[in-house]
Amino acid sequence: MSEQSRTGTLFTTWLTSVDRVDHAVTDEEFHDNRPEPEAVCGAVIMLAPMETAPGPRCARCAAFLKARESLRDLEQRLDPHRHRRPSWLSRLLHRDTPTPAVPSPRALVRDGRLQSPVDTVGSPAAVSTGLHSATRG
Amino acid sequence: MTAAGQTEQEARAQRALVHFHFAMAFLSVGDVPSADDYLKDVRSRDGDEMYRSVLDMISVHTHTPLEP
Repeated sequence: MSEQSRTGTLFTTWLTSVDRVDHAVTDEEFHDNRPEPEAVCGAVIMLAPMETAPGPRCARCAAFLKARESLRDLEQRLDPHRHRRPSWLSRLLHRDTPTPAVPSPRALVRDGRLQSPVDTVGSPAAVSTGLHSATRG
Repeated sequence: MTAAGQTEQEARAQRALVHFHFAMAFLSVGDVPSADDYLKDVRSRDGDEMYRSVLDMISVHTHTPLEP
């Protein structure tokens, strides 16, 4: 048994097969199918005696574990709550936090970088629809 | 104890031994946090009794008394 790795909730250890290649095997698989467990790469291996020195690691097992690590990162990146807008209380109490990369339309209007989309006061369209009927009468 | 019960007991003993070997694989390289995570995972999968038995095996093997 050689160095062990932990990837998310998948606990594996590197076990040496009789052909002197180290494969990653889960504890469940090791318990159920010893001495011929199925490695995470899909290969069914025959375990070498414990006194056998570790060999080179199976590239497919290593790639599988690496892929699981990146998948876990992807789940973290896709977390919908990560970019959730903070609550008004949080914004009030943490006023020194940096502004978001993309400001909200309200922030753009406040800074004068965007015209207000609905400026009904004095608009000809508003007058023609009768919104200012009280002033016409 | 029935034969079936004895077989189940033996299976649990074998399972505890596998968990012990995996935990010791972490501890043998000094990766205590991973061993702790693994034992928590064992507890969630197999229950408190299995967890305590693995801890007992580690305690005996490493000559480290368990905290009460």
